[in-house]
Amino acid sequence: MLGCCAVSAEDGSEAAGELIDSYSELYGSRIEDAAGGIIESAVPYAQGFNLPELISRAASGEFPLDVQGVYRELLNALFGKLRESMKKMTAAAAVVLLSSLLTPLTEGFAGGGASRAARYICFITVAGLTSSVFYDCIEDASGAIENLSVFMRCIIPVMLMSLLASGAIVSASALEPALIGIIELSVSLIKNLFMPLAMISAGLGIVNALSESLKTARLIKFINNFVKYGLSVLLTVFVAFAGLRSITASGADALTLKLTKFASSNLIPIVGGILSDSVDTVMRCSALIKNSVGIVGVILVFFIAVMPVLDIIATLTVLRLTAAFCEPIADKSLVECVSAAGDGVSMSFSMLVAVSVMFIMIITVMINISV
Amino acid sequence: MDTVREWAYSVAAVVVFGTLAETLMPGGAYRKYIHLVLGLILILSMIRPVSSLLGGDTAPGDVLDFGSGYTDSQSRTDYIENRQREDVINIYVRTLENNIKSRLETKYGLHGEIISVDVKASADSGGDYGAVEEVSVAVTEKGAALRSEITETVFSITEAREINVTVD
Repeated sequence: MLGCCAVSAEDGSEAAGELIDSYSELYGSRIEDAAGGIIESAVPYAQGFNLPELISRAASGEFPLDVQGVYRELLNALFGKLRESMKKMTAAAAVVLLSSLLTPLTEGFAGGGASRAARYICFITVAGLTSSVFYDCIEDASGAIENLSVFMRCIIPVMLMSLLASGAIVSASALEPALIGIIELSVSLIKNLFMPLAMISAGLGIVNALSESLKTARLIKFINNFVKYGLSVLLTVFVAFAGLRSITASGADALTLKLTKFASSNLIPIVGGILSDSVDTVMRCSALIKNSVGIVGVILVFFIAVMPVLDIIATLTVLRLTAAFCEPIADKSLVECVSAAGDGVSMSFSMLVAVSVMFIMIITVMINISV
Repeated sequence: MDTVREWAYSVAAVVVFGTLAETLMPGGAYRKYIHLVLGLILILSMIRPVSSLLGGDTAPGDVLDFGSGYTDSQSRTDYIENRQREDVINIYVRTLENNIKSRLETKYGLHGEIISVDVKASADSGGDYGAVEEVSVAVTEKGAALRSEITETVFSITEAREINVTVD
């Protein structure tokens, strides 16, 4: 009897292919409409990105990127940024070396006053240069976190839609308020509390290096520890929350889907089996598309975060190298000043990486929800 | 966060001012007293936010600013449900059409005589979802001779309310 015939292999694959293309177009265009500006501005080589095509290629099992090309671009970008940072810090290193020459030369003049004046002028120059380098890094990190946050606000509804389409109705409903809450809380804490504290700590570190008697080293250490432990606690809570939410809801989804298939298979005479198989085809394609949207989402989060991360790594490397090379001959306060700026850049790097990891984790949790 | 920023500026300003004062002040017995006073000013500037927190001037919750959440989850759910309902019906109808065609061709030897099969199925979300409403089979003249057999076979498969066999 025809009722027992399953969807033929040819029909099934043609229908599945059309479904995949159709949903790739739906989700890809939604992401482009909501976050196209961010993707184009944050990812320099995104001009050729066609999101529906990327999703469709991911669904067909093809890795949607040219890995070697991306690796080459990233390496070139890293070395380019290293060169830029070195140019900026060369001026600071030159002033540090000049200071190390001037200080012994001027020690005998005006009871040491000329030496102290020369020292302060060199310090202010170096502090200004390192502050501008540090401020650029903080701006990059802050801008990247904002872009990531806006991108997640665009992609989460699309992923929830794909989760709904794949049959994980209970998971999608349960996850939505939880994910929104935890993303907004994390971004708010990092942007409004930890980032300003990192700036304050670096600023106080630079000022702390100026005076030999009025020290605020322990206050700076307190702020740094607060940021470090705060970030660790935030990450831990985040991982636990996202993981637990996904586990509790997925059991109910499997039951809901089984009931739907049972209803379509047994309640409609004869052709119920075909209808049930059609439901199955749509659900499986939707699950495939959900995973593909997730993969493309992870790739986009990576690309939005990677350039600022490379910039910060280059700046941090140059700051540490400058402090290391100048230490043997330079005044202790100048080396402390450069080092303090390096500590601030290091904290902004931790925050940016923490946010990127959190968001990649969310998307991965949603990919792993299956019925 | 403006409060914290202002506090940091004040601490930095005290350190810079203190360093300048230490550079400019004369040597001698007064030096250590000036240094003590500068240290006390620095301590006062550092503990200022703690005293304002304990005094209730600043609400800790005001430090954080939460963004707005997402909206429109119900319309998203409805959209996906409607779209999937249509997708299932499209695949179901297409599969049914191909199966009816191949069944008729095999059973009555009508290869090449069945021009097209059109199936209309109900897409209502109620109990009639998937019920076949109408089947139209377009056949050649050779196929038209088996009109009643074709109608009977199609009815046994689909239990359609209306079956039309037309000669094309």
